[in-house]
Formats: sequence, structure tokens, C-alpha cells
Amino acid sequence: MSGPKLQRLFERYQQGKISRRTFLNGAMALGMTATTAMLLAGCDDPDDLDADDDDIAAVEPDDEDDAVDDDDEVEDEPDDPDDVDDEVDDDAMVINLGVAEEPPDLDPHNLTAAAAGLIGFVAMPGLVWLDFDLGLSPMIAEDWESDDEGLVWTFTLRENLVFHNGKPCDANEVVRNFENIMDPESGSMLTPDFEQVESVEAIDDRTIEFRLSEPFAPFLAVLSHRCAITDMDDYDTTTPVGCGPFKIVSWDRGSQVTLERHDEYWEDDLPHAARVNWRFLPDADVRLTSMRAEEIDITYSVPDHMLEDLMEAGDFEINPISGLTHQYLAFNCSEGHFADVRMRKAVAHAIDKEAILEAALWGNGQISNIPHPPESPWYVEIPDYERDLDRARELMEEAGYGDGFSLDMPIPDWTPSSEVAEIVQADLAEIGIDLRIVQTEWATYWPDIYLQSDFEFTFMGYSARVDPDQTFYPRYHSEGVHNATVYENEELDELLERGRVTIDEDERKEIYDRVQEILVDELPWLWLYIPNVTMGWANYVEGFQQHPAYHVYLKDVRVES
Amino acid sequence: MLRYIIRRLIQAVGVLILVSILVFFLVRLIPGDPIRLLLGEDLSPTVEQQLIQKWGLDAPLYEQYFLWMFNIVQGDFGQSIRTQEQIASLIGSRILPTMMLSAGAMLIAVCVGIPAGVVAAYKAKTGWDHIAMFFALIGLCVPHFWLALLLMLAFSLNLGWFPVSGYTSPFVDPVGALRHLILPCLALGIGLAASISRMTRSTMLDVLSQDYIRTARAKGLSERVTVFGHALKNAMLPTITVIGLQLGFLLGGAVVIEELFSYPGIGQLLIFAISNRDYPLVQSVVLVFASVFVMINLLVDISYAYFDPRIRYE
Repeated sequence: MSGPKLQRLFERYQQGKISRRTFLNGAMALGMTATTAMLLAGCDDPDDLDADDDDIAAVEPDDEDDAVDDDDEVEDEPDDPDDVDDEVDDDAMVINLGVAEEPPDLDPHNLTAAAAGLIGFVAMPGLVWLDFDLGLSPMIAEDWESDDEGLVWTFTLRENLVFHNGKPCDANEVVRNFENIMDPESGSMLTPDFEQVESVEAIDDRTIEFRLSEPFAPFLAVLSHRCAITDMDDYDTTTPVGCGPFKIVSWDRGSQVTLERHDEYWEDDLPHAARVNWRFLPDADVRLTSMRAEEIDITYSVPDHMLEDLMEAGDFEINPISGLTHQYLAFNCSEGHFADVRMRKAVAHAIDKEAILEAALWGNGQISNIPHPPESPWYVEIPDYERDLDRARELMEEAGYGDGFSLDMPIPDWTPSSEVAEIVQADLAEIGIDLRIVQTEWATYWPDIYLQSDFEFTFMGYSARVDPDQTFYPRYHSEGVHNATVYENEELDELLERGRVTIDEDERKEIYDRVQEILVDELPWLWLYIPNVTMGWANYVEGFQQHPAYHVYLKDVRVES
Repeated sequence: MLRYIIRRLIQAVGVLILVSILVFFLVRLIPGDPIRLLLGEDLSPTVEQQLIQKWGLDAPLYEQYFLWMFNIVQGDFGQSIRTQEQIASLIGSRILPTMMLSAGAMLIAVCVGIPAGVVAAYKAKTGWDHIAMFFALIGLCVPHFWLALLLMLAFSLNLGWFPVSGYTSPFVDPVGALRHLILPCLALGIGLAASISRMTRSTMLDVLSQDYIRTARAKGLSERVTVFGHALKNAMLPTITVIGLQLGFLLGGAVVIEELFSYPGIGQLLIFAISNRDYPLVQSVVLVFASVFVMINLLVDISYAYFDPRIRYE
């Protein structure tokens, strides 16, 4: 027996930690002949091995180099996962994750659903990613630079990038991805984000150059937003391939997506787990029961009302952190009672945000008057409206509504909209506004009420994008596609346009500080609170970190059983 | 009999055409818009326009309807707007789990409900009757989603006998499939057993007081033959109708249970389709439901002839 790796492999086999097939594959990959390996494994009858022949043949030529570099890979999984499905190693580590939502599809360039984005980030990472501290960090690009005007962006890919199907991922392949994303015919949701990109080219195998028609400050952020890189020759909308640490093996609709370790992932010795069962458990109680039964190891969003009990019980780890979503009241600024800014301010003085937060999330969040939590680089401290009913009544008087009025308040059908609306209803009753809450199914509310601005006053939520341009421009620029509050302000338009093309970080910060000041002063939206990200994970799970945007990264996670 | 079946099948085609027209226009009458829902926060007018064209949603409605029917007749259900997958394969992958769930629940319901009903009727107004009907009443009152959570707590969390939720294909792992199936089947089956037992009891009571039962007893037939051969067979007609109807509902109406157990049934698919206004998918699933309903009704009618030979359908 030659070499410590082989020695270790043999020991593990003797201890029954790995299967015979895995041992044989590993031994052959480490350079041992088939006969010796079989003798070691204790098969004197060659027919015994019939079933294994394919594996051995498959491992030998391709995996030799990798295997010698890293014996973990050899031990846990040979070349083709399908061949070992029925014979999982004893020490194969499986992560069971319970999430609430199942994505409709996994179209790499159309990960429109947040649930699809989550799986996309794990399996098909893009050039850069939104890291745990809300910064933009290298993903499949290890480095980048832009010229002073922000017109030419050059990205350098990591070495040894390989797709799950074994094809190398080089600059040409990445360029083909962006050509598809930028093609108006592709119907990709990302197309509009790349309007400023004039051309994308591969300079060499690892270098990609984007040329922009004008500076576009959110460019990096755009690249981090569900901008998956896939093999364009193998474009698939259910089991797409990427270069991520886990590859999508199968999707049992209505039940789970199964991912397995990508053996040629670029980081050494990662990911730890051999397999991830990405299970869809829409009911929060069922997720909790599954956690207690140890059927899942990590659970998405723990119900707020149970948070305190669960944290006290300490059955599993829970540690709420600030998130990126925020929920708000929106006014129609061009029609009806709230076209007058004094009326919007009257509402701001009348509502009790603390009570709303308590009713909506059992306090699991923080009240806010801007869409950025204090942890965000775009946070700016702006004094909030104090609760002052007299001031509110005065403002209503000035606006000519001193006698009060009645009003329909359409709200979407998701929690906690009715909880919030009821508190708002009680608060506004005190200043003479009689709200009638009309709850409407999301499928009607979003396209027909919200986007059509068919409301005077409503409650909504939104998950912020990391760059303030992406958050503010579509919503408050008078030409913005989401400007549902029909708010128009020349100064704001000018600021938002300037924010897009300003590359200097400090200058941008100033611009968006001012933007947020205007928005708090003018109140097209009245921000209420920022819910916490609250996941739960078992005590035996190691290396799991919550992401402020609820992304789930699993490569560093270990599950000790 | 054959002529009757053929006539019913021709009627069924008419029913299905009617259903197709209804569902096609109704689903478009509900407010909402598949493309805007699909794009969500990433809405942009150009992409929206493109998708509207791609899915042919800009064509006149009658044209869209005839195109859809034209394709259906050739066996092409088309593509789902939301998932972009072939609808036939989406439905295909859900049919088996749904049928297993419905069949399992119905099996439990029939095996428990009919004997309980017979005993309750035969021993009417005794302790047996009261016990059976007490449990039937509870079974009817308990909402099945709550029962499901209780079953999970008891059998999965405390006893650890069955997995909390999930699904395994019977082709991959028959034992695992069964283990995943038992709790949802119980959750659905117990309520059904209750209604079947009450139905059986009341019709059995009626039949047992008939003259021909007295005659049967008078001519010395054993109680077993009298009760099971004569009374039960005659009492089955209304029960069969209930079973048929319930089976129809089970195929599409087990949504809550499917969601709770994250069981990939077709009810879940329909809810998904409706809440995304995925027009082609809604239409196809409803059409499949309608076909199944029509078929089950036909089978129920045919089974009448077995239970009541006077019904001959000629």
C-alpha cells in the first residue's frame, strides 16, 4: 500500500465508514490496480464486481488528478451520482432544509420568484454576490476593476471553474450568458437592468469586459441579483447547471429539490455535505414539527408569535438579524385625499408604529422611517414623525378635511396585512378618518390594484435590492415602472438620475441621503418597520450563517449526527 | 348496457366541451394578470409586452380558445406560463400521488365506515350504536387539517413511526412511499369514514325494516346471509353515490392536506395555477378534473346495475 491517503482510505473502509464501491473507486483513482484493490476489498470473485465496473471505468481517466489532490471527494462520492444513489456512504452528510415556498421554475435568466433565486444562488452563482454584510464580494469572478468614468468594467474569472456537467466555464461561456440576458428576444427579466451595457466581450479565457454607454453605478449590484451563469448549451429551466458548490439533481415538484455536492467546485474541501434535500414545507407548524423530529436541520422563517417560546425552550438555534424587506403604507399622491402632503403627514402623526410592529410581527423587527436598517451602508438618520394627534388634526384642518371622511383601504391577502391595517384603522379613527379595509387576493391586488394605482391608501411590503438606485428609481422617479403612488418631484428625479451615473461612493451616499430626506418629508410611502430575518437551525448544525436577504448558503454547513 | 355506456360517453364529450368553454372564459374573467404576477417586482414594460406576445395573450379570446381546443384534441395541453413546463408532464407527475392518496383515504373510509355503519344499524339504539355514532360525530366535526397536525405530533414526533411530511415514489421505495402515505390518508379518511358510516347506518336501518328482510328471516335464512347478502347490498346504492362523489372531491379537494404534508398532489397544482393566473394550466387541470368526475359518475351508475338488478339502463 502506497501513500498515506490510500492508507486512510483503507482504514475507513475497514471501519465500515465507506462502502466497498467507494473504496474501490478511491483506491483506483489513487493509482492502485483493479486486481490489488479488489483483493484488498476482499472480493475474491471478480463477478462480485459486475455492478461496479462502470464506476471504476468512469473514475479512472477523469478524476485522477482531483482525487490525488483531495481524498475527501473520492471517499464521499465518485464521478456519477446516479450510480451511487442506492448505496450512500455511511458518513455521507445530508442537509435537510425546510423552506416555505417552492419556485415555479428555475429558469437561470428568469429567476423571477424569490424562491427560485435562493436555489439559483447555491447552484448557479453569478460573477459577484451579496455577502453576509450586505457588501458585494467575488463569486465566480475573483476580481474586477472599472475605469475612472465607470464605462469599462473588467472581470477576471476564477481558475478551474467547472459546470456541474463537467464543462469548463470560461470567459466565452460567461459572455454567451450575458448575450442571452441582454437579448430583448430572450424575455429575461434581467434585460432592462443591462440597458446601459453596449457590449460584452471575452478578452481571454478568464477575462470579460463590459462596455457601458454611460456610467451605471448599480452595475455590480445588478450582477449580484439573480444573475445566474449557466452552460448555454445545456440551458434548462428545471434542473439547470451552474458552477456552484451544489448541483441540482432532481426536482420532485410539490415536495423537494435534491442537490448533490459538485466535486469540481473551485474551493478546496468544500462543500462539506454530500447532499441537500431542499424541502418545500409551506406550513410553519409543519416546519417546526419537522425540526423537532429532526427531519429538517434548518428551517426558513420561524413564526414570530412562537419566537419567544422557542428561544426559551432552546431546542434549536434562533437568532434574529436585520433584514432587507420592509413594509409600508402607500398613498396615492396624485388623486384623492392624500394628494395633499399635509394629509400624508397627518397620517404619519396619527399612527403608532410600535403598536403596529407588535401586532404584525410580535415585535420581531425594528420600526423605521427609511427602507435601510442601521447595518446598511445606505442608512441615514432622519428624525421620524412623532405621534401627535393634535398636530394630525391641525394638518387635516389645514388641508380642508377637518370633518373627517370615509375611505376604502385595499390590502393584499398575505400576513400581516390585516393585522397592520386594523391598528392603522383604529389610529386613524381617532383623527376622524373612517377606514374600510378591503382585503384582496394577491393575484388581483398586485396587477390590478397596486400597479394600476387603484387606491388612495394601502399597505404593502417589498424586499429591497442592495443598491439604493434599484430600490428608489423604479418607485419614485416620475417615469419609474413601479411608481404606483404616482409621485412626481423634479428635485428627486434629478437626484435619482444623478445617483445612477455617479461612481464616487461618498458622492453617491450624499445623493441618497438627500433622496431619503425628501421621501421622509414628502411621504409618498410611510415606512413602518423592517422585519427581522429569523431562521432556525438544529444544535448539531455547524457553520450556518443567516443572510440578511434570506439567501441560504450551505457550502460551509456541517451536520453532525 | 353497451349502448347505454356509449350514449353516456357521448354525453360526456358534450359536458367536457361545456366545461372547457366555461373554464376558459371564467378564468379570464377573474381579475389578475399572469404576466405581471410572473414578473413581480422586476416588472418592465418591454419584457411584459414580449411575454404577452409569447403566450399569445394579445390574440382575440375566441381565437385563443379555438387554438387551445385545437391543440387539446391532438393531445397537446401546451405549456404552463408560470413554470414553462409541458402541462401534460406537470399533471402526469401529480396524478399518481393524488390517486394513491385518494384511494388510500377511501380505502380507510370504506373499511372503517361501512362495518361501523352496519354494526350501528344492526345493533341500533344499543351501546354499540352509540359508540359508533359518537365517534362518527367527532370524525365529522374535526377539521382535517387539525387532525393532520395531531397525527403528526402523535405518530411522527412522539412515536416516530412515520415521517412528518414529504413524498416518495412507490417505484423508488415502496415501503417509504407507504410510510409517507399513511398519515395523510388517515387525516383524510377519518372524516370520510364518519360520513360513510352515518350514511350506511341510516340506509341499513331503512332496509332492515323492509318486508323482504322479514320474509328472509321468516324463511329461515341465516342472519349473516340476511344482513350481508340482502340488506347490505340493497343499502349500498346511496352509499355508493356518496363514495363516488367523495372520491371526485378527494381528487381535487385534498389541497390542505397536500400542503400540510408537502405531498405533491394535483390539488396543490390547481391552487398554484389559479393563484398565478396560469390560464393554460388552470384550464387543463380543470378539464382533467371534469373528465375524472364524469368517469367516476359513469362507474357509479354502472355499479348500480350490480347492486340493484332492476336497473338495466335499456
